[in-house]
Amino acid sequence: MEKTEQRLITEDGRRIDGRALDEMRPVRIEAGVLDRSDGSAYIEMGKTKIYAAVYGPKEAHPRHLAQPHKAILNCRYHMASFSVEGRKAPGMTRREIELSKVIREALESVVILEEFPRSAIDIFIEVIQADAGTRTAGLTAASLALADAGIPMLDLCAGIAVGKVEGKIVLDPSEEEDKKGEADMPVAMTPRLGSIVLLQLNGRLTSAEFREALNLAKKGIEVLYELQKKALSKKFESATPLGEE
Amino acid sequence: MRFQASGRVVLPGDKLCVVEEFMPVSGAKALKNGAVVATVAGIAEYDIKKHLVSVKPLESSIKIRPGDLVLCQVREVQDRLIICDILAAADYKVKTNWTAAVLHRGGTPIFTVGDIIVARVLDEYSGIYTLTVKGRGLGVFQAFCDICGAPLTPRDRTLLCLRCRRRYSNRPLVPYYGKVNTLLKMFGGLLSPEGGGLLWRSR
Amino acid sequence: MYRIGAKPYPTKIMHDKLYELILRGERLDGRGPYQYRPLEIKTSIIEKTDGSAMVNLGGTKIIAGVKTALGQPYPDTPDQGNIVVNAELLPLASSFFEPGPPDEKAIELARVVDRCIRESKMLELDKLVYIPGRSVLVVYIDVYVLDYDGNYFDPSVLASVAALATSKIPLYEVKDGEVIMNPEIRSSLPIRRFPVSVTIGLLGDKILVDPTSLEESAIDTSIVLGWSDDDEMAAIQKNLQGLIQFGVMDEIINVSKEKAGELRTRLMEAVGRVGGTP
Repeated sequence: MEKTEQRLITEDGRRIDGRALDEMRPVRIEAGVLDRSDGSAYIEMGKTKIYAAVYGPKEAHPRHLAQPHKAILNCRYHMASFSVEGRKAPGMTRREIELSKVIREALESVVILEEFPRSAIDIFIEVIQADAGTRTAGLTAASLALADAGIPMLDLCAGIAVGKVEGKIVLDPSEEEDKKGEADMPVAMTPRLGSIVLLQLNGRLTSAEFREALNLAKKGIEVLYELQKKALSKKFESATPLGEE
Repeated sequence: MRFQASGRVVLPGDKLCVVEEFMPVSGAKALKNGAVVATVAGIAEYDIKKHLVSVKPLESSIKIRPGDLVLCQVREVQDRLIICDILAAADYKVKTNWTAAVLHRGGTPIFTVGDIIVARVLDEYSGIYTLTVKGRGLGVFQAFCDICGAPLTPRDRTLLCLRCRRRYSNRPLVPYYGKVNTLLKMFGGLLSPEGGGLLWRSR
Repeated sequence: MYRIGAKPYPTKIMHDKLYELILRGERLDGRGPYQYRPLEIKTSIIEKTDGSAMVNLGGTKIIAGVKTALGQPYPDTPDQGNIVVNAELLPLASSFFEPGPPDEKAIELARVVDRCIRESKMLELDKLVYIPGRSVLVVYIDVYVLDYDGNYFDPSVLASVAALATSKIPLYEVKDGEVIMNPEIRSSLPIRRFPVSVTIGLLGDKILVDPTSLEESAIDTSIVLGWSDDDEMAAIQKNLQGLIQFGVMDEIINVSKEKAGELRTRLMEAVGRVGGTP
């Protein structure tokens, strides 16, 4: 057994999986992957694998939840029991309930809910393998699924986590970096409007580090946004506008 | 700002113009800073004469629109109002059931709970659709007896209950009353697993 | 809602249409009565599991993951490992599925998968004991329905069995009365046979295999048969309300046996055990 702690960042500024500090893991984004739903998306960021699906707008049930002037958004972020090391109990944990809420609130700020009074839009995010950055990847997939469903939005959303590992700010930390690192900050933005829709921080950052982290996240989000656009364009490549033959 | 041509594919968030140039109609929205952005993935269309911009969606989230022919099942009969669930539409798939209402003059109700009717969407207000059954090809496809609940059989332009011999003359009938194949041909969406929402939610 | 024979009226329309077609040997999607939809089995897709598989059967998409852990045996089987099956019908898969704890359908699915695996004696559970009565291996199988277009039983069994067959579990050693895990050395689970299940829908006296969700809504009833071997059944579950005419059982058995053979061949190919027993 090796006694010395393995360094997470090498002398020449490489991370444990060979990435540069501002390099994200390989990303794959697809739109329209599930047939039953009105809109769906799949995202892979390294080992993180997530499906998202959107149903609606449909009538809000139970009825008393319906809002006379706008649609309500329901969001369920859930992790499969085999998605983590060990086995997670299948039901919703307190963490999942909290993340469902922050993701919902992030999406509520871009979806134009006033167009669908008395309706409900359901968003389901299913993490089938978790390897850090699931909430931001889930949000990225969910916003793509909403666009795939044709639900009007001011902008897409994309999110990525930034971490602080051994004093260095790194983009898209892996699970090991997340666990051993000093800080983890998930950020989600609307790439075109340039505003933040989700921001959380676990750990300690100085204000200079925070600014650096936010700028790094913005860079990552721009890359993700291009991939989202590519996925949407691919989905709609063969489509003709509705009402035209 | 350079001139934007019609026919361009845009995605949500793409900037179309500023409000001074074109006003947003559908599929587009003006932001506080005056920019107009697309809200759905679709084809941008600029009306240069009227100074309007819209985006024709590639995937629509609103499926039911005024003028559409729909298949419904009556859920509730009130004095001047018949509430039904939209099960399917003639031109597209309806994934979940929507509530709709048929207005009538009052008096003897023209439908019973459980009736399958073909109607046209008149209007949509705040998420509730109003329907009409007045017109060619509109009316009840399969009616049931008010009293005993048995399916009604057409006899000389009226409907007859073979079980309790009651006769109903105020119900508008579709020309293909009770003919399943014609119905399936009209509402092709029924044949898709997603089609019809409530229709297949029996189990 | 008006019902004829306990069916909502619109469903009867579809039932009659399907029956009319099946009399001519046809189905809505152009398949023959005894034909499965295109099947695709992918294994080892989730790195964090000990074994995993994704199965696409037409429009139905199922993912199964296997996790193992040390645990206590059940008091009545102190010298056997445990199998725990959990299934979830995710609300992502269909607008008919609701969020929340597993409902009766999900529990039925889990228990049918469990029976196919347990009763067929697929795993040699007696080899998974480290200290009899105290420490055995617990094999957790989690089945998730990702996209639902009817018949989630067959792909769930296929995915679970494929995940088990490709599982690599860590080595456990007994040292001074303690069980120590060595995650470096990994080996396959001890597998005897490959159970598969065949779902059959009934329309009166006519049968159709692998019903879609549209067909499931209109058929009279359906039955799931788990085949553990070429000529051996391990589990049967009649689900949905409705009657099966006695005279049809012979045809059900013959058809499902033949279909089980086909599915097993595909399964063995997918897990790399072509030709012969494991």
